[in-house]
Amino acid sequence: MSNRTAIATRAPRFATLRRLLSSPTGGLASLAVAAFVIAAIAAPLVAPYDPNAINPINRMQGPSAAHWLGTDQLGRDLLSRIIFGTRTALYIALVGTAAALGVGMAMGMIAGLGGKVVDSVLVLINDSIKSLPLVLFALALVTIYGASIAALIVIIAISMAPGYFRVVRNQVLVLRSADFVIAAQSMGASRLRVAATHMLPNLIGPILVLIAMDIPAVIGIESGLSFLGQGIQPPKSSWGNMLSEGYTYVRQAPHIAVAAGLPIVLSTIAFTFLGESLRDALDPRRAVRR
Amino acid sequence: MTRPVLDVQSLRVQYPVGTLVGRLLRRGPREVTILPEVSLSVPPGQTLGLIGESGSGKTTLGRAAIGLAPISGGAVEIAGIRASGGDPKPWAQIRKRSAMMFQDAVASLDPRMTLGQSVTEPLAVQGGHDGNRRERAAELLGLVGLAPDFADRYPHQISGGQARRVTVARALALEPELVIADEPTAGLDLSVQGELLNLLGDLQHRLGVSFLFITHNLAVARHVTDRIAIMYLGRIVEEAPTRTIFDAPAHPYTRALIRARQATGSDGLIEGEVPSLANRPAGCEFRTRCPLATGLCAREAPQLRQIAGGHSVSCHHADAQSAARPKNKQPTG
Amino acid sequence: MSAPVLQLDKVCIRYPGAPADAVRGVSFDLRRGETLGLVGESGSGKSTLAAATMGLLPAGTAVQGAIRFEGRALFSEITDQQLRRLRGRRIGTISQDPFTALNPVMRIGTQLDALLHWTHDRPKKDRMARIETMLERVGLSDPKVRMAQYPHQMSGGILQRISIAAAMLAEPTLLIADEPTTALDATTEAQILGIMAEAKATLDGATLFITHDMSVVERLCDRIAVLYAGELVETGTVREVLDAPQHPYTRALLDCDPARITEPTRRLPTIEGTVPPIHKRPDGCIFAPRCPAAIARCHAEAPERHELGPRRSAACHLASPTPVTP
Repeated sequence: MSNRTAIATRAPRFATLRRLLSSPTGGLASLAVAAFVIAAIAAPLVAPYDPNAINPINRMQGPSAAHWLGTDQLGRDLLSRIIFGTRTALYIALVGTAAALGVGMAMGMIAGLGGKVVDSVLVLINDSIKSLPLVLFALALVTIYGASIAALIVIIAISMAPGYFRVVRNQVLVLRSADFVIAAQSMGASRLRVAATHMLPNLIGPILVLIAMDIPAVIGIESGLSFLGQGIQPPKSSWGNMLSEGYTYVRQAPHIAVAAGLPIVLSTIAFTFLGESLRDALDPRRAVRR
Repeated sequence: MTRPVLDVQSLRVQYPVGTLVGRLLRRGPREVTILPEVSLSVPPGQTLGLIGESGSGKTTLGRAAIGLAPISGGAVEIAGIRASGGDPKPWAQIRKRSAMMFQDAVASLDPRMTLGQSVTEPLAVQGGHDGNRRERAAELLGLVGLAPDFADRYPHQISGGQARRVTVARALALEPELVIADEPTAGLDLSVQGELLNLLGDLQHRLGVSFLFITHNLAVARHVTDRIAIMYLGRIVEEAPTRTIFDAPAHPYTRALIRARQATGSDGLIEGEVPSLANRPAGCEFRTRCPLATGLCAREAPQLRQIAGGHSVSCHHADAQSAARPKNKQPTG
Repeated sequence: MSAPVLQLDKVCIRYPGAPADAVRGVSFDLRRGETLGLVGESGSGKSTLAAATMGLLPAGTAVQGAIRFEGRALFSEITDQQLRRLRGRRIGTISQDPFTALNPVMRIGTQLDALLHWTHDRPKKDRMARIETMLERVGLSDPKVRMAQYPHQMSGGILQRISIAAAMLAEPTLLIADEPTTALDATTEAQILGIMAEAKATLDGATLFITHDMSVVERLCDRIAVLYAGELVETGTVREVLDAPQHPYTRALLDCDPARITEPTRRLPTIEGTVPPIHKRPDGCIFAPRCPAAIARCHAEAPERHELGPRRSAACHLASPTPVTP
C-alpha cells in the first residue's frame, strides 16, 4: 500500500491549515486556542506560583507586578489558579467531547447505514436525550453519584452525543445516495471500505467544526456546575468555582470575579471563531478562489 | 450466436415506500414497481442504446444490472456470471468485470480524492494490482487524452468535459467487458460531446468493450449504438437494430420520440404526461397517450413479440402501423 | 418606423473583479413580431446578455455600449426602479428551471393573480377568468383544478406551461426565454415549443430565445444570433444562417450536431481545442486558434463585422456576400 500513501501525501491537509491561518480571524483564534492548550499542558512550568499556596497576608489584592491578576480571598495567585483551571477545563472538554463524539458517531453511522427500524429507534433515543433539561439532569446525576470529574465527563458525553449523532446521521444519509459513493459500490467496494474511504473523510470537516463549536458549551457545563458547587471541588481550581468564590466577594474585590470570568469569555470566543474559520477553510472548493 | 456480455432476464425492481408506522399498519402500497419485468442483452463488443424519458426506469435498470437496486425477481448475467436476489458473492464478481459511468460526472468523483486516486480506485478496491498506482493513473489518464499532472488535481478544478474523461478512465481501470454509461454526454457542449463519443468509440474498437448506453437523446444514439431498446414506464416497448428503429419504428411511442425532435407543427406529437408509476394504466400502459388506442388496448396488455428478425415490439397494432407508414428515412431537420 | 423592441449597440459587459469582458461589442436588434434565437455554447455570454437585458446583473458589473428597450437606454434613460416595474409587465421571462421559478408555498392561482397586481382595481372574478383563459391557451385541460394546486403537485412539463402562461399574462412587449426546454423530455419539449409558437403569434411584441440547441432555433425562431466566447460571430435570418453559414464557428457548430448528420456515423465531427478563457483571449480573431480555415491575417487582426446583406453579418475575414435565396 506504499503507492497509495505516495498519492495520499498530496491530500489537502496542509493546504487547509494554510487557509485557516491566512484568514485574520482564523489566525487569531488559532493563536488564542494554542495559548490555552500550552497553558494547560505546561501549567506547572508557566504558572508563577503554586495555585493552592495560601498567603493570608496578601488576601484580595488587586493586580500588581508580583501578582498580575491579583490574589483571592485566601491570598492565592489568581493567574496561577486560572492556568491550572485551564488544565481542568480543557481536560474535561477533551475527554467529554471525545466520549460524546465516539458515542454519537457510532450511533449516527449505524442509523445512517442501517435499516429504517434501527434508524427510527436511534433517532427516538437521541431526541429524548435532547429534550431532557440539562441542568436538572446533571444535578440529579451528581446527587446520586456525587460530584467528581468522572461524573462531569459522563454528563457531558450524554448531553453532547445527540449533536454528533445528528450531524453524522444526516451526512451519512446524504453521502449514501451521493454518486461517488454509488460509484465506489459499482466497483465492488465493501460497505466497510465505502464507509472508511468515502464517508469518513467527508464527515471529518463538519465534525471538526462541531467540536470547535461545542467546546465552549462543554466548558460552560463544567463552569456552571462548578459554580453551583456540583462540579470541580475546591481547593482544586476551576474557572467555575473561582467565579463562584469571586461572586461571594464581588463587593470587596471585584477583580476576582473578573479574572475568573475572563478565560471563560476568551475561550468561548476563540473556539467559536476557530470553528467558523475551520468551516470555511475545510471547503475544498474555496481552494481555487485565490 | 455468441454468449452475450450482459443478459438481463425478467428483472423486477421494486422500491419500498411509505413510513414505518404506515407499513406496520399495512396502510397504502408498500412498494412501487420501477421495473415490472425487463429482459435485454448486449452482445460482445457491441453497444445497446437504452432510450427513455425521465421516469422511464432506464437509470434504475443500469444500476440493477450490477445489483445496486432492490431486485425482487429475475436475474442478471454479466460475462458469464449469473446473479440474482441478495447473495452478494456473484454481484461482487460482476462488479469486477463491469464498470459504470454516471450522468453527473463531477458528482461521481469523491471531492476529497485527487483524480489519480479516483481513477485507480477500482484497482485499490479489487486489490491484486502490484504495479505502481501512480504510473497506472498516468497511463489511464493518457488513455483518455489527459496529461499525467491531472492525477494531482481535484474534481472541482477541472471542466465538465475533463471530468467525463476521468470517469471514462476510471471505468476502464479494470479492463471491464461491459461499461454501463448513464447519459455520458448530458450537459456537455456539442463540440465536446462529439469528442467524448469518439473517444468511447475508439476505446470500444481497441479494447473490445461492450456498452449499455443509457440516454434520452435519440440523435446521439443513432450514431453510436448497434441496437436500441426503447423504455416506457419501466418496460421495453420496442427493441431493434438502430437502423430499423429509425427506418421502420413499429411502436407509436418510438415514432413519437423520433418525431418530437423534428416536428415543426404539432402533427405526430403525443399528448399528455407520463402516468405515475404508482398508478399504472390497466392494459397497455401507453394507451393513455396513444393515438391508435382501441378497446383491446384497455383490456389486454400487449406482450413483447418479434415482428421481424431481431425486431421486437409490444403493441397490438404494430403490424398495421408498419404497413401504413413503411419508411421514415428523413432524419432531424 | 417605430424603434426596435430591443436594440444592443456595441455592448461590453465586465463582471466585478473579472480580468476581462465577458461580453464584447455585441450589437443586434429585435423588432416587433420577431423571434430571435441567441445561440451559444457554455461561456459564450448568452446568459450574461439575457441577465443584462433584464437588469439582473450583479452589482458592480460594468456595462458599456447601449441596451435600448423600445428606444430608451437601460441604466441611463431607464432607471433600475423603472426597469423593475417593466419586468413582469412589459418584459416577461421564462426560465430554464420551472421548479424554482414558482413559489412552492403558494397556490398557482394566487401566484398568477399576484403577477396581475397592477390590475387589482378590477374585480377578482375578471382576473381569475383571465388567468383561466391563459392556462387554457397553454394547453392545460383543467385550469380550475391547476389554479388550486401547488407547484410540487405537478410535473416539469405542466410547470413550464404555467411559467409561459405567467410570462404571457401581462402581454409583454418583450418575452425573454432562457433555455426553457433544456430540462424537459423530448416529447414534452415538442409540446412546449408548439405552445411557444402559438404564444408568439398572439404576442404583440418580440421574443428573445436563448438556447444552445440549433434545432430548437430552427423550429421556433425567425432570426438567429450566434455567440462565441462573448462575441457575436454571425447573425441573419434562421434560413440564411442555417442554410449558408458564413462564419466557420457557425459551420462547425452545425456540423457537430448529431441530429443534423443524415448518415449514421461512428466518428462525429468536433471542434478542435477549447474556448479560450476570459483572460487569455487571442489577439486576432477570437475563433482563429480553433478555426480550420484561419489564415495569417486571422491571427494578427480581429475581423470587423462584415455586412453580408440587410441585417445579415459575420465577423470573419473570409466571409463574402453570397446570393441568398429568401
